[in-house]
Amino acid sequence: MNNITPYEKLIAAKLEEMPVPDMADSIWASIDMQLDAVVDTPKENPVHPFKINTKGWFIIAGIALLIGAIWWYIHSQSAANKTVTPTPVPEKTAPVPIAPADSSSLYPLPRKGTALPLPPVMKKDSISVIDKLPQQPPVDSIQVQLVPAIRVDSPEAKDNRPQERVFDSIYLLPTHKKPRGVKGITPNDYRISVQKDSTHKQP
Amino acid sequence: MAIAIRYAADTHEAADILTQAFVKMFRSIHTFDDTKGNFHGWLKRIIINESLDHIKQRSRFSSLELDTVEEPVVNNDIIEKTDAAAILELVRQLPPATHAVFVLYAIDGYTHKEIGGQLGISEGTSKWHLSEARKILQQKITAIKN
Repeated sequence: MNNITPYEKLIAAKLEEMPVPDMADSIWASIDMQLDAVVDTPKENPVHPFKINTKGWFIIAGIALLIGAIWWYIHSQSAANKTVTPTPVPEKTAPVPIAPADSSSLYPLPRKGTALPLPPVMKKDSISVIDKLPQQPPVDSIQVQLVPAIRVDSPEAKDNRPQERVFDSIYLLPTHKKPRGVKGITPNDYRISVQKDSTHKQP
Repeated sequence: MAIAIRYAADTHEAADILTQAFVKMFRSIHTFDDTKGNFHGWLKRIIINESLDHIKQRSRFSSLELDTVEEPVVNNDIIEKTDAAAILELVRQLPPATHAVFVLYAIDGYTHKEIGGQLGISEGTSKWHLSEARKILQQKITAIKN
């Protein structure tokens, strides 16, 4: 089985002598056509017209960073302007009643119907309501504390007590210690003691 | 061309095999290493591989094992007196897989191990195909004698 038999050798010799048909021209034409078709087909890795190399990516990243920085600057500026811009306060005007002409009046009387601005009415005991804090020079952001406005109808305002402070983690204590309590009143004055009348109260 | 003709079913298929083989040869000419062998052997291997690809497309190689070995007895005088074209026609009448194994083994000198590697079959299957080819050829050559 593993050896080539004599008749097989004869068959091989006969097949080697086999005349080849004259198809060389057609075969070469076919080979030429297929090779041309192979050349005309695009390569496996065609060159992309918009291919970006490493340098291009760095340029794009730089431009993106620049645009981001500009946008952040503009956005922060606009945010700062929004916080600082004071809201317009309506003027308190009232018509001035026309008084009869007096010889003692040194100033000319206003015409009828004109409105003059009145100064704000300030009572001695009243608590001035501050809607807006006065604009302060720019300070470090750590030291800025927002104090809420005092409400007029709050119990603190009624009792003339200072409003409760809102403490946060960066609250700074004042440098000068204020005296506690009211002058002339000691802690003994607040001591609650049993009085005679309360022990002998009749049901 | 003579190599392709041995494996092909007809002349047109042989021309196709030769065309494909030469196109492959021109496309992979840069891979040829003359230290590993001569150019003729390299081109012959390309043509045989292309021929086997054609045979695989039109036939199925089933797994068969050879049980008994029967050496056919063929009179050499008959073969010598027979025309080469007639012998080629006898070989082409073999089943495609048997035809390929017979040509690879008996004419191109491949071993059963190499044939198994080329066609993706076992050595036993290759031996079975060779035995089948010998039996069929013996019958056909005997028929020519009669």
